[in-house]
Amino acid sequence: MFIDPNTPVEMLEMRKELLGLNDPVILQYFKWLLNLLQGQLGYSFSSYAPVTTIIGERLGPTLLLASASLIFGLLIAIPVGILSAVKQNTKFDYIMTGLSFIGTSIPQFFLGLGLIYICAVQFKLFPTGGMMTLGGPGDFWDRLRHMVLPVFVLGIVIAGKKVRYVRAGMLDVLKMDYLRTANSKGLHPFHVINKHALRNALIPIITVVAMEIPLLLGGSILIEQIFQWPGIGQLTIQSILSRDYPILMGLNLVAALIVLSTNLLTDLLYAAADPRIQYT
Amino acid sequence: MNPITHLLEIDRLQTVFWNGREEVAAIEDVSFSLRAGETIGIVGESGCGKSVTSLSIMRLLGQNGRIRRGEIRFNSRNLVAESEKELRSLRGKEIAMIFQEPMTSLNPVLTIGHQLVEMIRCHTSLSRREAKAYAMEMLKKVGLPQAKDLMSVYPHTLSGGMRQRIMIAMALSCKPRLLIADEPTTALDVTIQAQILELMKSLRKESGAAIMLITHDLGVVAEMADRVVVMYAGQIVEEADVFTLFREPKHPYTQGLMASIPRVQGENERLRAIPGTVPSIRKMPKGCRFHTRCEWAAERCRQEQPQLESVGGEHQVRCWIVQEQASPLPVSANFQHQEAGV
Repeated sequence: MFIDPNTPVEMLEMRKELLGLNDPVILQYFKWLLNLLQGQLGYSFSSYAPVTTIIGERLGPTLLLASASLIFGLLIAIPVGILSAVKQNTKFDYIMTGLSFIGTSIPQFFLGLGLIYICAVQFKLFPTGGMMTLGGPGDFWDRLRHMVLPVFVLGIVIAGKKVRYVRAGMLDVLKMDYLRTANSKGLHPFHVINKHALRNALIPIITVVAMEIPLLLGGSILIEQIFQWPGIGQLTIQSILSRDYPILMGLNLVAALIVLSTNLLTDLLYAAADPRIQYT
Repeated sequence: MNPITHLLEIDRLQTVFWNGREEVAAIEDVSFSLRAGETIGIVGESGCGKSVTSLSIMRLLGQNGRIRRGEIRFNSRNLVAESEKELRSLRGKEIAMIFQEPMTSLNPVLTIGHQLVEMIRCHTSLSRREAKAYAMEMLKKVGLPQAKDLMSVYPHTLSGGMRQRIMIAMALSCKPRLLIADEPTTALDVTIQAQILELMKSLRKESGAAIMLITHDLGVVAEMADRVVVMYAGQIVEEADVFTLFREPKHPYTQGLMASIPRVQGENERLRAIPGTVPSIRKMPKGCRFHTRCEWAAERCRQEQPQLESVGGEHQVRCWIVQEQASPLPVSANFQHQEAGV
């Protein structure tokens, strides 16, 4: 807490007593837990607004950005991964694995800043940041224009990582006996790949995609900061810089909840995708 | 031989695989033919090219394999020259296949019903409901009376024998004229093996399909086949009808195969195994490919490659010793009391 050094000691003591700062840490923690059970996370040190309200406001934009980039990334990764595996060791495969290598290794902030410079500053195609034009209409198209660059940067990185998983998973499945069976039945190759191979190849990919979700929802700190996206990531940085502990506690709690629920979701998805897995 | 009576004719087939540096021939100079309704057994050790031969007929050789030379005439159509689309309409409809591993040959994430119905609908104009009814009928035919429940079940809940029955039901559902069975009983328990063979026999009678039975089990051949082709290191070394082959095997390799069958009756003698292993396709020995393991090998066998030649009727052998001697090969004492009954 920031304290004016001129504050009288008695007043400081009184304030500490009032805030419960003289209690043992364990007791303070249980008080916090008790409040949590009632849906209270305390108040921000800097804005004095309830932590729940502040985090709640930020969750929406982060969810929007995260889901859009995950979908965008997978829409690239899955078809490219499949084609790369089917056309293994062809020019297409080499180019795509090369691009995915670049996509994985390029720093997000670099790509983000580069795109802002080229697309927003030089060519003025997209806004440099924010979620909508201030004082503007704030309608769907306006928001969409603001989303293009951050979603692209996040999506490209996701796609770069996932292409390799999809390709490897697909290559494993393509060697399987049941694919030979499917081919020997005279099915169209498109059907063999998309029905027989893809469903099997996607099972291990569920895990790696799910691992991405906490990272994205925890707020892509860099991207939200660079594009001034009013999400969890930006809030995290602001709260760290202003030592706003109640908010940071709340953010940690949210992150923990996200990790736990994604793990649960992963397990449930497994059972849905693979009939050999059953929970009793 | 009148070509019209032959359903399948394979003529000097050579199939090669790209190993990253060069193309190596997995099978070479393979020729045999099959009449409609006939059962031919293809016998040999692992890696001798049996499966490559069958996959060549289906043209399912994968990215790295291709047919370099020869013809495969099915119903007078040369399958080597057909377009991929034409071939697809043959696969499953005219030529169907059963594989060795019933545990992995069915797709684990699709129901049995789905896998049967998609095949039926691919080659017929039946509606979904009709195809489903027909699939259940096929399941009953292969001895799975609880067909209705099986349709919605995933493969992992079934035993190996049941899965192989399902594979057979699937393969026969479009009434193929040729059924290629690649080691259909190898992965099964002995009792289940007998059941599957019985099933194949009764279905053969009913459907009149020709069967190409690939196996390394001479017992299965004796049980099922009309004619036998013995393969060694990518080549046919002997071809004869099943009785001739078991009565007087000519090629030293065939004799060795016969001698390595364990017998129940008789004195307790050691099993005769053929020494050595099949040579790698990249390092084929010069001359006769079997000479490194042959106890009769002469100088000529090490230098020149023998051709497959008739030694009377349809009995063909690829061996200098047999071809040079008018009289049959001096059968060694250990081979003498081998009989067809296995």
